[in-house]
Amino acid sequence: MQVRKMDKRIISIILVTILALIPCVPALAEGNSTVTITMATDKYVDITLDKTAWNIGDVEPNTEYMTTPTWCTITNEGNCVVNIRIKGANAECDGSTYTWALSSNNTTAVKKYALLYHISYDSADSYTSITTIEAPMKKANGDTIQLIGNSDNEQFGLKLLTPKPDTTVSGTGYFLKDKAMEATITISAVVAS
Amino acid sequence: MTRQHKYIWLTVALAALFLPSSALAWGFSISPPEVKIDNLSPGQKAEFNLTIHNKDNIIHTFVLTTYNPEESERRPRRAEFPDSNWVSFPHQVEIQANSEAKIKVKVAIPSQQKWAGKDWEIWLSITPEDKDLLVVNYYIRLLVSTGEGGERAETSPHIELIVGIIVLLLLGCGIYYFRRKAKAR
Repeated sequence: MQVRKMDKRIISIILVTILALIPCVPALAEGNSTVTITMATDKYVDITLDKTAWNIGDVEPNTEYMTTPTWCTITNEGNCVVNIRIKGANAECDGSTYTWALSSNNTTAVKKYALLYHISYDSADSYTSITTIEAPMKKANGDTIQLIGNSDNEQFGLKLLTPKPDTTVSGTGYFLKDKAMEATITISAVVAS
Repeated sequence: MTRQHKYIWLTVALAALFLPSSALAWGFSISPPEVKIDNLSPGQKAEFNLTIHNKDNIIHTFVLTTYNPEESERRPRRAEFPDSNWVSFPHQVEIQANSEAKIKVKVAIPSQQKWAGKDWEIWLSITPEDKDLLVVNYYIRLLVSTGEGGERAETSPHIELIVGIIVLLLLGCGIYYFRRKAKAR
């Protein structure tokens, strides 16, 4: 009778101990680590461009086309300081395999064109290449374009150098396609370091 | 006939255009601009929401991708994020006019111990699907710091200690029980 009482006590002690330890196991398995996520939800990025298209019309081979230096305004309508970045892309002809590769060094060739930008109030001849590799947008003195918010803005213009002719007839160069070439310039904003 | 054909060919050749597609206008914003996840141990996951606000009066589709910035663009002492597949999110989101959408982003670190104690940075890119000559793109800085853990957590000395206590307790009780039983006989 005494032994049975003892059995119950022992089993009870074991069960209570195990039950008491069970909740500790998962907590200890996490190594006491607490993941913290920090983000300012009251901050937002919002930039606007007052122009998104450049309707040049017909272009000739190996020719330079420019907008005004204040052609487009980038405005930071957000509430945090952002760095502005830029990249271009190859020009494509809708429904055709005919393309113009974007130059990486301002030089043009057959089916290779160049795009450059100019920051307003920089010296007139200071243009920076737009390439397919994204890069911070910079002024002529090398300063990166940083917009502090509250409608802070910067103006820029574009320059296009068309490819060398696909063919030349009697000393005049021609392109072999008559369709519109489409290209994209991506203006990116990232919160400043 | 030959002359006419040549004339048409020349006209066609001269008419190469550099034109963007039809003019589009869009306005959108994103929040937050930066997310910092600390102490995310290997084998663990973290989730957060980002908000895209379509300020236009027409529906827009936004494309989400990741981007690994160069070292000079990253925060100090932040290394390149090892694998963009560890960050998961919907790659396209359609947002109604004048509306915002919350996008769930998950970051999952594999359980190997080699990923413990690291500081990484990767950017999430959000851009409209519709493109004009000029298109706006936003980046969200995602800063991830991993804590200790991973495989080590699976064989944590704490767990071994708990298991050890239970085994010793069972053993002690067993010995006690059989001794009492023997004495009773």
